[in-house]
Amino acid sequence: MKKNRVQIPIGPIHPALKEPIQIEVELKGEHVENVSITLGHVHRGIEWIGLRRNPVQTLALAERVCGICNIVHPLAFCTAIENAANIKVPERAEYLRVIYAELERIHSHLLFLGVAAHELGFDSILHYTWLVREKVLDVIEYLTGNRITKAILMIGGVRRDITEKQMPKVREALEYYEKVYKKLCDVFLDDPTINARTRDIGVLTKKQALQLCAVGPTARASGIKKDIRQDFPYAAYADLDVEAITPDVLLNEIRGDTFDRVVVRVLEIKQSLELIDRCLKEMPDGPILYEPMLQRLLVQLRQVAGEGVALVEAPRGELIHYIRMEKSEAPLAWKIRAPTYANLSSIVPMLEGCELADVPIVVASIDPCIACANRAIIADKNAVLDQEKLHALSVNKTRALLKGGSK
Amino acid sequence: MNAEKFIGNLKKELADLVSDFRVVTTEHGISNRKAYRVWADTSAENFKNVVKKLFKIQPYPHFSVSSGFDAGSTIEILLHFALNYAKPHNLVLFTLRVKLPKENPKMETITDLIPGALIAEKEKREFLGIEIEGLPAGHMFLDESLAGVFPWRRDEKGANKIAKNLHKGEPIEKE
Repeated sequence: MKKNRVQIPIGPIHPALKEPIQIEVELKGEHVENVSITLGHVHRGIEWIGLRRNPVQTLALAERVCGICNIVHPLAFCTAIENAANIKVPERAEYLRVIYAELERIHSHLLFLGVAAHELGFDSILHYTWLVREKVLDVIEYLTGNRITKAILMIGGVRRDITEKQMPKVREALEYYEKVYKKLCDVFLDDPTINARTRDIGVLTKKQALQLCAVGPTARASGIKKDIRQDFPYAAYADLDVEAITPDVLLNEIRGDTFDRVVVRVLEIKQSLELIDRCLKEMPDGPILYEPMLQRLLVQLRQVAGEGVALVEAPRGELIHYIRMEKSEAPLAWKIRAPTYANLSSIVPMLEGCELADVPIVVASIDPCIACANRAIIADKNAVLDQEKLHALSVNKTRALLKGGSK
Repeated sequence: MNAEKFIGNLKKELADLVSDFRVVTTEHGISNRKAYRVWADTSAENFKNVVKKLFKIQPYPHFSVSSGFDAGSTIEILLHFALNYAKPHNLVLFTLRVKLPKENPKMETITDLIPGALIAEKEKREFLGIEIEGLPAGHMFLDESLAGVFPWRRDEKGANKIAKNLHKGEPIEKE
């Protein structure tokens, strides 16, 4: 480390993430000069465990990769198995999968917006956003039986239908979000202080995003129009003609900064509401499972020799699962790559040049599955800068702006 | 460019470098729209040239991740690329397979071409014990105390023994 530099390790551990992370920033004064990343502090070995169980048992593991994205992980896992075993999912089940996945996207994006507000010091907005989020969690619970681990997907379809009797409650939730959406836009897109704290902060250029293989809202905020729902037919997205959302839709420009990443997610909430509405209207009748008899399905899967790969658009971006089956009870290979894994490298150019007080909001802006940068230590001063103090730095910067202080 | 035309170009460009070029399609939705998955095999000597060729077809080929597993006498590495992206319904999911001999599993890094491949390559090195030439040193996932244990290997270098000791809460024992 060069002289007059301070090295600050932020992180590493939060059990919500498959690959927990430690971000070490090297500061010159208040500005970040270098960033390095370490992962795997509590690697759980989910793939390893999955190679010792049959695919139906492993489905429960896939659901536990992430506490937030527990529709898209089993969806990607099932799609990879279906690809390997040449299983055709019934059309109604494909629509149901989209409804569940989009409900999950709404709750995930609202979760992100609350975290972003908290990192900026607006806890009233955090509480408002998460209050709004309760509605979608209630609907998920109503439809699946659980708020978080939903256990609704199955290889070859879904486990439970949405009945006509259940429809009004889903529609009521859509109407509720139509009503509060304008307020969400006002709060996050028109507030001068949020703008001041996020505009031109944590910039990721389009070229950097392409080189670093960024995915999801992180890539789209930098102007790359890639969205797996748009690009790669899977589930009922094949029928829905999703359009990848970039910030220029609203702002007529793309800067690739923290604000743009907020904009993309706010707009995608609206997009998800429209997709759910369309699915409810256009969903065909019919079966919801390829093979309702579990034992028969397992016998068929034991005969499979082949491999499958699935791409799914998770709330944080492209998610990929690879499966190799060799006519045995358990798969020979299973690889999961969650979107945060792909987006981590992008944190480095985003942070370089930022002030220390901007680190929490910039890291949060890729919506990492690491729910918190839980500790930080200034190594060469023997002083401790814990999560609260780092957060306080960010809050104080916002307060200074509100009082009309310099940025 | 639509997916079928793109796959035609891909096949033509890679003709001398890959074998077993396969196109697998699945149909989705009421519209029965096709999703295209392309699989191909190549050698450890040729695989980097294949990646270079991808740049001829697309300015920034999107590297999704690499998978890897112990296939007995070889270690198979699969590089997954999402190509022809940002074209509605026409993405081509290309998987390139490289089989490395168990006794000397070695391949070149592609991080000079695709910086975003860094984490995936470090993961393969730590979990499968393959040597990746040109990749910076340093662990990213596993603790240094696990050096020499490669959890995804199915042979004596795998994690079976330490997995059995985990419940004891004792320090990791290696062969």
